[in-house]
Parts: sequence; structure tokens; C-alpha cells
Amino acid sequence: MSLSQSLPFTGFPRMDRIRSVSRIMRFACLIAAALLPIALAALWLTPGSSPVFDGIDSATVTENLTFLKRALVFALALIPTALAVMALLRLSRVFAGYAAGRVFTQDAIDGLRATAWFAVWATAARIAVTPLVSVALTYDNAPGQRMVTLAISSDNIFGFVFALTLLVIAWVMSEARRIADDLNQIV
Amino acid sequence: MPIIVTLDVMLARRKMKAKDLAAEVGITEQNLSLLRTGKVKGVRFSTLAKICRSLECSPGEILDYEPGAEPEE
Repeated sequence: MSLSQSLPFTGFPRMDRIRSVSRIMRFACLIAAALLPIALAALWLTPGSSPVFDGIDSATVTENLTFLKRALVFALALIPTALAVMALLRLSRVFAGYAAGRVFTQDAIDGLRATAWFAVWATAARIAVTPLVSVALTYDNAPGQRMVTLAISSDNIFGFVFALTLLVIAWVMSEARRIADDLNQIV
Repeated sequence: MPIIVTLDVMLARRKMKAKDLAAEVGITEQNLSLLRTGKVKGVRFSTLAKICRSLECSPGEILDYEPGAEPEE
């Protein structure tokens, strides 16, 4: 166990601010993690709603949108959402550590790295699920009106950039932890 | 490490307890213990100055250099 893992950074005014903001961020992450699947379920499972999914024209599918079809699409759309929820839950643990003053710890770095990878997989899953959703939504349509949609939106690109940025930050934090370890060994 | 901390010798000369020195200097007993046993990577000038003031000595009286020992990375 390194010194930085055992000694929380406390007593610094800036650190106190980081701790209070981290407490808010942790709460926000938990709320978002809880709301995402609920919002998705409300979007797809509410009778009469006209959901859209990554550029798929809902007007062409809502006429024969049975509950079974809605449930199938909900299950598909749940895959990237579940990964996003995992990212948010892991991030909430990182913020919980920051709130407790554990900033330069291996756990915080591992948490950032795990969040980044969950974000990568969530973005990739969203791109991969889009054609499946479009097939599921238009499968019962008349011949010629069935669709396979492949969409890569600016949101997807932003998702990848965000995840890669987080990975680099985790790398930088790893170096910062090493420096913090050195500083902790100076009295 | 070629730098040897001889703080124990000075503490004995001054008949001072490590606990009291730690309190005067404003560091934890744990950190002072690490310093006394040479298990630290460095000492801040401010800490060194406070130790010297408390023990009424110069840095050379609590630090020694042993030629030949390799410095740690």
C-alpha cells in the first residue's frame, strides 16, 4: 500500500472545494444512472409514444408498433444504456473517493480508466445496435419499406473523444499519483 | 542512501523526547519516526529549520554523509 493511498489529502482550501463539488457530482451521477433506464423504458414501453432512435424515422414504424416490438427494441436499446449506467456508477465511486479526500489513489485511477472503457463500449454498442433497432422496427413493413440504418452521429464521435480524453486523464493521474507518493515521503 | 540521519543522537544529547520534538516542529510522530529511521525521501528546509531551532543545532549535526552508498531513485 502506498502512502498516498493511506493518507487522504485534507486541510487544503482548494481540496475542500473539490470535496464538496465531488459530493454533488456523485449524487448527479447516481441520479443520472437511475433515470437513464427509466427514461428509456418510458420512451419505448409507453403505449402511444413515438420514439426515435438515431435517425430512424419513427413515422414509418409507429403505425404497427406492437408492445412486443417495443419490448424488443427496448431490450436492444438497453445494451448501450446499461453500459452508460455502468460508466456513471463507476464515476460515482470515483467522486465518492474524491469527496473523502482520496484523490491520487490507485482506486481513483482505476475508476477513471474503467469509466472511460465503459464509455467506449457504450458508444460502440449504440452504433452497433442502431441497425438492429431499425430492422426490428421495420421488419413487419411491406416489402420495399424495410430499413437497415447505420448511423454515426456527432454524439457518437463526442462519446469516443470523451472516453479517450478520460483514458489520457487516467494516465496523467497515474503519473500524478507517483509524484504524490514522492511528496508524501518528504517530511 | 548515503545521507544518514543522526537525529536520535541529538535527541539523546538534548534529553528530549521524540514526541515533544514532533509537537514543537509540527509534524506527526509517525513522520518523525520515518525521518529518524531514514525512511523518507527528503526533508523540507522549513522542517529542517524547525528541528534545528528546537534542538539548538545545525543541519550538519543531525545529517551525515556516508561515501560509497548508492543514492535511491
